[in-house]
Amino acid sequence: MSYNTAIVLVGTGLLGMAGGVVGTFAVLRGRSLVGDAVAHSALPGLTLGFMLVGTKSFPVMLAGAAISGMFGMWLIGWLSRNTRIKADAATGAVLSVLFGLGLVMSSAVQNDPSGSQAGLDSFLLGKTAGMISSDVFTLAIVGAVVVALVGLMFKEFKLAVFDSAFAKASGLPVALLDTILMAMIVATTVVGLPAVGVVLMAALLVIPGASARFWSNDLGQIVVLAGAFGAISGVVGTLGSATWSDVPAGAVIVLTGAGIFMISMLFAPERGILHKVVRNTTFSIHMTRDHILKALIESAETGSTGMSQKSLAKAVAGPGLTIQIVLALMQLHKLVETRNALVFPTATGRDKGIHLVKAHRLWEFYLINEMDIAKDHVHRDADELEHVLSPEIVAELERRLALENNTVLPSAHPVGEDS
Amino acid sequence: MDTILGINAIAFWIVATGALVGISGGILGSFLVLRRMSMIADAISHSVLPGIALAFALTGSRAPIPILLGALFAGLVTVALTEAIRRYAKVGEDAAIGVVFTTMFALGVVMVSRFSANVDLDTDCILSGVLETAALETVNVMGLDIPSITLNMAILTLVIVSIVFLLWKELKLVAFDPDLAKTLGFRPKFVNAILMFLVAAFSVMAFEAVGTILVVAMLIVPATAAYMLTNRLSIMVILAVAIGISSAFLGRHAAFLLDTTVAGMIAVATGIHLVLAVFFGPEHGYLARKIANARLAVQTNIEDLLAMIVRTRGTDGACSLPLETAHKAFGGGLRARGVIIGARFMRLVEVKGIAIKPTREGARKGMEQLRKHRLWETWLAERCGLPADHVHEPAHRMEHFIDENLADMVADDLGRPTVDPHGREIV
Repeated sequence: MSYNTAIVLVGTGLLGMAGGVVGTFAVLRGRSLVGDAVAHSALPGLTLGFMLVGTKSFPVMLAGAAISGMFGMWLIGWLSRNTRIKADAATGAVLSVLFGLGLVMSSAVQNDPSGSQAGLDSFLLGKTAGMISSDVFTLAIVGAVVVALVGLMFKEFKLAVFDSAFAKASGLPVALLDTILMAMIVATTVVGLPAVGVVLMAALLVIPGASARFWSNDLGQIVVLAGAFGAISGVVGTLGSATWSDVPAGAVIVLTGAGIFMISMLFAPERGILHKVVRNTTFSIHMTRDHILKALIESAETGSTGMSQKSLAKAVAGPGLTIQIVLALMQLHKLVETRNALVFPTATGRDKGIHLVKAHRLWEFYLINEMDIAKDHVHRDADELEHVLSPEIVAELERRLALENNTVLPSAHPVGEDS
Repeated sequence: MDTILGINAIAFWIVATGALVGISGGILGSFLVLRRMSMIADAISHSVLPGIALAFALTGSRAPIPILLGALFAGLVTVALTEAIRRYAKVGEDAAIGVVFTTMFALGVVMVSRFSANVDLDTDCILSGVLETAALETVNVMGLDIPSITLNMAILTLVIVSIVFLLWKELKLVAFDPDLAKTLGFRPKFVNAILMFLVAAFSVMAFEAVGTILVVAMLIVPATAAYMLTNRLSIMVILAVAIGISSAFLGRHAAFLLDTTVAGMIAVATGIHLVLAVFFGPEHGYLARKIANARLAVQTNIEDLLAMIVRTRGTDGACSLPLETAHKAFGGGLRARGVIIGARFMRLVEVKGIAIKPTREGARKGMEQLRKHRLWETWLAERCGLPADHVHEPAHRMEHFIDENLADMVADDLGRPTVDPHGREIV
């Protein structure tokens, strides 16, 4: 690996980490587009810095960009608070006008023969290739400061960001903390602009935090993960773009981050889509199983023995295929058995079915007699609750309704007058 | 042809194109701003890039139809992905927008670099469009040489105006009360889809002409400025359109004078309109509100003064308030003096020596205040059950906002009482 590549890797890694850590607070507070706004607002200041100093002097341009960026943020806040303009319109208006102003200024500069475009041209897409060790040094400092501040004042930031009223009442200087957070976001955005450009810097602030959210509910874990995801995006993205020499590294970094986001959204345990799908499917299988058992018990009450698959499908009112699959599973778990093309509950199945029927009817009885609800209004409620009423609750209901144990009440709505 | 209507042809087409962008942008933007969808517009305008790049890669040309289709496809994907993320992720809508549009933009950048590296889809073009060189590629329509981008923009504007005109009622209702719209049988989802479709179409057409930044600016800023100037939707749309056209005109001229990018200057021009609207807008503008507040403060203070004077009424019917008491009551200094001067200016009081006396009009007004005050105290005590020592403060504040009608209604409701909870007379 060449020295240059190593430099760029370290730089983008640090940038990704800082962006992820600091951007998480914005994301979790519903202000994800702050980075976008800052990045666009920074252009006039960046250009002004260039115009004042004459040659491309990084620190002055960055300082100008930072001031301009903070001004944009302040303006958005002022408009939202003092006029009827809402936050989204304020953000869009400020960022596009300030960026337009920046374009005007930079175009004027470019028409001046002494103006060299470097730094201004790459503003849109970034130019990691141009990174030199002093740039990485700046990034390292910013990254270290960000991580240190967030680490040291974690509890304070957490409280100020998520429960500012309580924080204020506890004596925390909420406005000051908010300003520090804003300043860190601005600083990170501004140092990242030359590397990855405007739009993509906004991405580095949002995507890692949003991805990390899928993996945890704990702010500390989310922040750490976001930092890691950001760093990985930076490094992997840079490596990837090295193989595609004509593609700006910023774009590949963002795509890497997006890839991590997709993986998180799909596969994260508990909050990921796959997990949810599995959980929902299991639940509906259980529901269908319970309904089948109930149908079998209730049909046995009216004297018939066993039910055909077709009549089960009608009673349970679900897609035929689902019924078949669930029946097969139930046979596997020895809850039902088939004889002469009719389905019968096994002993275990009967026990479970009786419990369900009992729970359902008890609940209906309770609703009708204790809660004064009309007879034809109780079925749906009981239909939902029967699956979750535990034996203890059932026993308690029986006690309250002064019934002997194990009575199975008659149905409040016999078959034939079903809803 | 070098001049049109006496104006330099190139300048004419630049302004015309910009104005068309302003018209469509102003119309669409009004609905977006009202529905707080400004950032979605920002997102769509960025995420059409991969669609454009794809269309270009597939057809090798910059003909409008494939590009439009590509952009619409990208727009649809954007909206669908944003919806999906919003539903499944535990982060807000803003994060969903942020993730999707930046990713799409990055994808677009990759595609542009890979597929069209040697074509003029360069940075400047993306940012600022090609307004300056618009007049170079013309199409002959009925004997007139119209730049193709202007023609495309004109057609789009016509389509947008027609659709908005046809769906005006639906758009209006869905913007202000989507639930009512649903219960009445309109289809908010369908209306939204049409709006998003038009925004995507606008983004792509305008993008080619004026670049990303002006697309966003023309959608959001004129409409926001118009929002500060009126409370009526139809007026807001008209104002937004007017501001868009004005910005195109001013922006182009300023850019010419300062020798800089036209698109950027038009964006700045929209910003200037916004600043003016924010400060000088009647009713909602910063100045207007400050003035209204000041007037209210003056009126309230003078009414308080009159009520104070009238309370000194002796058995002979004469009222006289020592100057010093008045000064102290208003905290002394400039404020106290200002109130007294104001009251004198309005011929409500006269200063005789070290005392202030009311004029006839002043006495009348003062008695009115007193009546309202005491009626309200009575109402609070009898209808709200407040104890007698709790009613003065709220009545003191409320008395300024009770008009004749309300005072009479309160009096009637209480059965025309003659004394307040402190035993004082109500006239």
